[in-house]
Amino acid sequence: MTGCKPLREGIHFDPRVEPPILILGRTTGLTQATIYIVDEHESVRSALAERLGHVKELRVIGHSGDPAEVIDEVSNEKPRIVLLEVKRKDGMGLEILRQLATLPDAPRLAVLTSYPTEWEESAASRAGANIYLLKDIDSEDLIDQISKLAVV
Amino acid sequence: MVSSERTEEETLGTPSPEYTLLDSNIVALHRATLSLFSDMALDGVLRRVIEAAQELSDAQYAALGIPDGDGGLETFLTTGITEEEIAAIERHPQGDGLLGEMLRSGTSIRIKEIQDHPSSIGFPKGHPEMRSFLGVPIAAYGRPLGQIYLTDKRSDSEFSIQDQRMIEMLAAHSAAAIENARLYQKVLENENELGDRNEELGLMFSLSTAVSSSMDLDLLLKVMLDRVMNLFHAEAGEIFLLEEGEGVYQKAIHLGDSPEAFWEIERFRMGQGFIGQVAQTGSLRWTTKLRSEVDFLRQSVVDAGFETLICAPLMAPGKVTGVLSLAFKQTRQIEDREIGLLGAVASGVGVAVENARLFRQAQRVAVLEERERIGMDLHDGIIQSIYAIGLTLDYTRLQVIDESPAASERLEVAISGLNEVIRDLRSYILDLQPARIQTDDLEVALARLVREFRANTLIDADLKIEKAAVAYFSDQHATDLFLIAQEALANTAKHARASRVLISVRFASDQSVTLQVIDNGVGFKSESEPELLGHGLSNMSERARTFGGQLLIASGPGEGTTITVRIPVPIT
Repeated sequence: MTGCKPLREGIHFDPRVEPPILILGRTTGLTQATIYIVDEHESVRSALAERLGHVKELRVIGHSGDPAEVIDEVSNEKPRIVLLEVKRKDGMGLEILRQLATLPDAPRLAVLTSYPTEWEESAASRAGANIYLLKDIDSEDLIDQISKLAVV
Repeated sequence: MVSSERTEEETLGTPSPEYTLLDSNIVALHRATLSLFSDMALDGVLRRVIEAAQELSDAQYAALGIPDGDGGLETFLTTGITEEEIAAIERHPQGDGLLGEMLRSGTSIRIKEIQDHPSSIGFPKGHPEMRSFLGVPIAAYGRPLGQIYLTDKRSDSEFSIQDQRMIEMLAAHSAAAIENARLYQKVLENENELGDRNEELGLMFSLSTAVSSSMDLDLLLKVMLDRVMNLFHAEAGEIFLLEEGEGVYQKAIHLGDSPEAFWEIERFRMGQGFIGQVAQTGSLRWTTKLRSEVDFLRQSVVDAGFETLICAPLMAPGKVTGVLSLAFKQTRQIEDREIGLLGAVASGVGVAVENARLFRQAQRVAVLEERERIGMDLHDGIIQSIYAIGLTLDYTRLQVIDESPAASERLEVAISGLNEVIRDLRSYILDLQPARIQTDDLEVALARLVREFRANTLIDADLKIEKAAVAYFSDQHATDLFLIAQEALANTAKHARASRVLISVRFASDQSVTLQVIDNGVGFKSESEPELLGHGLSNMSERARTFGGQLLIASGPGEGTTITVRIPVPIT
């Protein structure tokens, strides 16, 4: 399994390097990055939340498929990372990305998508995505990529 | 709307509401329909029906009446009108006047001025003034279930024929949803039969989801027939479908025993044999002594040992669209409950068949429809499902990894199998994407596009290309430019009602090349309603950006539409 690699090796859209932000999990004392999942497919969201919830470095703090709810919850909860599927029936994927990118304390934005297209990748990048990943069931690799993104 | 990047799109305005019955409407309708079936309580379903009708037709007021069987109304639900306004009305709708006319005729009524209709008796005191009106009956196998009333279209002075068709389709779905909810209520009322009913409910549920999906018709018939046969323990089953315009019912599928006996006759005229009679009368027919039925007309089926037969009409609004038949080898009593259930199932299948037919028709009408996009959407959905299952398996694998390494290993194999499937689907989708266009071919490709457009729409279309302008595009940019032109023409075909279109690629100045698509159609209003902007415009604008281009749209009601993509050259 080769899995969730950035389409071109080492490409992260946002070259600005920020100092690591470490969020301390209050109960466990472990370093955890908070993550929020956006996907119009309920089954995908729950499965991702369940799987990523199993990773001790990550804490899934919510998920939604509804654009307005996403903006509300992300503004309030301020997750470190938002994992988002841009392909949507309502065509709002890029718009959600743009709005998330302009929030105060904007989260790191990871696009996770079912199949790649060049124009979508560049449009996502312009909208503010930090990384563009494919939906391969290789959780180790996905977790690896997300964890890296959390500390960049 | 946060980013400044949206501004140019925000000023584009609203596409004409006079859509043909095409993709955006079908998507909206399907979404509304799915919401209908998400509610099992009758009140909830009715509420969702009027809300969906109001939204789909853009009506100020929407109401739903349920007939009491005596020419009046038993229930009258409204939306768009406040409690205070309701309280101010002296006499509430009784089912006379215009509403009564609909109850009697069972047909849709669409008028610009309610007051002008011969059956109008005027509004009671305290009733808000209403003008344009669209009323559509909801019926299931010929029985009126209710009526949808819409008044005062917000974006226009009257409801269009497209609105009427949309609401009629919604009404067809509503009929299935209401029947579904009623069946569910019955189930709850009679707990003794809960075991049986659960199975029936499962059938109804799978039917309702099938009805509201755009599943392939052959597959849908197979799935439904198979489930009905299992539920009734039938040894054989068939579905006949009406051939449009011929009045003949042609066998579409047979499942179960003795196919050769059943296939001996595969077409029945209206009124001929059991199948033709059920089609003609629209009512269910059954027998437990098949050998003594002289008008059955299928000796080979009798010879194959079948004794009991039930034929149910597949009802669509205004016609019998097919006949479903179940055959049993033993003499079997048929309970009333089963007849009711089969009637409901058959009417649901009828709606599904009609829906699939309309969907196909809409697809045929859809000029330059993005077939590839439909294909991509379908396959995308499959990837999403597999991905969700795969993640769940992966999670399960982690749970069992310590106690059963062997199971964990097998799960890993399964997961990598699923990953293979995802990759296969992905490459299939990528194959569906339009192939790259060679720069030298751009002119040829555009010429072909315009030719096809002309042939499909009968709109007079001209193409003007300056060869030197085209030369600036690389293959990738040529593909993007072609796709923009394709999308722009598709929009023109769908919305503009134009008689002339001019497509050009030329120098606008030394520093820029423009692609323009100009039509003389209805145009659209300039008020900005970004949420109504089609997927298409934002796709075009995104594509234009990939080569530093800018999308500009100029339009106004009655003024046609000009879409301009300005590309600075040399392209960076």
